Amino acid sequence: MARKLFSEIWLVTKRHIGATIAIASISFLMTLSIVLVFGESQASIQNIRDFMDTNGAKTIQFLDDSDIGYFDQETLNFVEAFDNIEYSFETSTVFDVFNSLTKDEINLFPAKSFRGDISKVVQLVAGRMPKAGEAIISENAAHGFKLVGPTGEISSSNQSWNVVGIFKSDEAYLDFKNFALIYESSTTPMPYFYSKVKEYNELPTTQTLILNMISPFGREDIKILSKSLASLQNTIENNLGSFANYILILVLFLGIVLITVATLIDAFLNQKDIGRRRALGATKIYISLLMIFRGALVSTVGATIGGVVSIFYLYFYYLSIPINFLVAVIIFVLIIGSLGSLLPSLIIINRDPLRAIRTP
Amino acid sequence: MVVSDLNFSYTQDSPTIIENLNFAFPKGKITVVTGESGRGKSTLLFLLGLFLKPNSGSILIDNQETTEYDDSQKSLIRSNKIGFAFQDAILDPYRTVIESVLEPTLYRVESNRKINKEHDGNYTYQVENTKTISPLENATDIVSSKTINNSHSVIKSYQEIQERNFERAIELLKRLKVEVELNTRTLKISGGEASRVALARALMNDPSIILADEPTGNLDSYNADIILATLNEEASKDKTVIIVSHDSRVVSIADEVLNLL
Repeated sequence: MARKLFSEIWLVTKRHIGATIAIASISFLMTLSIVLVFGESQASIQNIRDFMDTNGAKTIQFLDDSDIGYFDQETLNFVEAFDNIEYSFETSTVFDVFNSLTKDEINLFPAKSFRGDISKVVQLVAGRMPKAGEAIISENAAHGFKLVGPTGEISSSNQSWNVVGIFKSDEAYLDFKNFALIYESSTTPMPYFYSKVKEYNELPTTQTLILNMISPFGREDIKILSKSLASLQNTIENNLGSFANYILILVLFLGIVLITVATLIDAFLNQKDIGRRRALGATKIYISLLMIFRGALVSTVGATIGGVVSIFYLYFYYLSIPINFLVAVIIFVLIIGSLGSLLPSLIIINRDPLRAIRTP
Repeated sequence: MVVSDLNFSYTQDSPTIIENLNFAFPKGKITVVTGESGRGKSTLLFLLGLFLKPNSGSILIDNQETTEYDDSQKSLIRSNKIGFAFQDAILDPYRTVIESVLEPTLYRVESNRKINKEHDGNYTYQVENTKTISPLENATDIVSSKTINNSHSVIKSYQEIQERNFERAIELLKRLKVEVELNTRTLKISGGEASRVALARALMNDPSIILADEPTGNLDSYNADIILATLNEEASKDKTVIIVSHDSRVVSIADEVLNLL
């Protein structure tokens, strides 16, 4: 039975070559559109992720807006114990300092006090990392202070710190290049801290967890300030995703309509063939299955060719598409091909067979 | 085949084409339906072929009322009991001559294999209207034999059915004096040959009722004679042969004539 049916599907496929080419072409274009749109959007999302990761989108900034002062060294240690936290560090407010060696007020410079592992954020290019009460300055600041080496002293109106090193900041923390960084004592309360998570997708849950654990009674006083990049990333990803979904819906709609029209035209042009089969004993279900299976078979062939072509296309742009996704698209197009053949088959099998046979 | 109080019009508003027709089409005889154009000769044939549903009345085939049958029941009757020869052959130009004759066997699914349990516990496959063709090996344990013995026998039986069908198709083509290559596309054969191939196709499933719509129309006497002789032979095998025709050659071989006025 299956062999007979397949042989008949093959005969119909060859016989109705116009419809076969039309359905295969539509399926080919559908697959190409879906794979390329998704491939491009996935590639764009990945590019954005890479860019954001380089520029600190994985970093959460928590700001203590309360008068109590929740953040101390213990808090930082506690947060760093999270498995998915890569590192954390704190910074304090910015204040102006000047080079106390030259006493040159013109060389006023901003400084941030910090606590935690700043080595993850900046790279030492000369000298050493500071201890409590010592400072390191950026290459930019060193140039501003006219320092020839990683030594010197910076002062504010009532405090001074020895400069023990020169750093350059990581790409994600380029704003530090204009700062001196002062290592604070662990007893000094800090207004905010940063935590960098290992995986971008763990950002929202980690934010919630940290917020819940460090401030059980005053969560409203803790503000998350660094989510702007992450939310920008989310917005872009969602927009790209929505765009891809719109394309998918459009392709789905057009695909069904075009396959339905092609199959319907073909069915009317060949209704004598269908009438003959009915006269020789074929049931309506048999005729319908013949058309649906033909649609499925030809769509699969068209989709497979489209899939192969799109893989080559993406390959030239150094993009790849997961094989599971491709298989899912081919199955999706197969279903569209079958659905597109369903309506015409139902219309044609309910036509008067006498009229079908007598059609010239 | 018996029709009683048969009425038919194509639509509710259109004139009645068949009106209160009562007729018994006898077995073993040729009935020729004649009448002027537009009197519903072909329509009657399509009603008898269960293509159209009458407005009222009944069509009995083997004493079974068929007018209320659903599509699958009608299709089963068309594939097993009715052979239809169309006015203009209606062969599939993409099939070869032999494939065209074999085409009705494609749709003969239900009746192809009928599993019978014999009184001695053996299973046999039977082709309806033909002799039993493939006795299976002993199957004392039905459950265990189902997967091994029966699956093997299905394949064996299927091949045998195919071979038997092929032999019958060849025999029919010989009877109808079709002398073209079996693998010739029907597109390439002459009109007369096409009519004979179409009749061979109608007879392929060994139907008990043969409906022929103008089988000799546009044919020369050589082709017409072959077709009429074959229809005569079929009638002599106790089959019901119903022909719609104006042709005097056809009317001359009729046992019964139904004149639609």
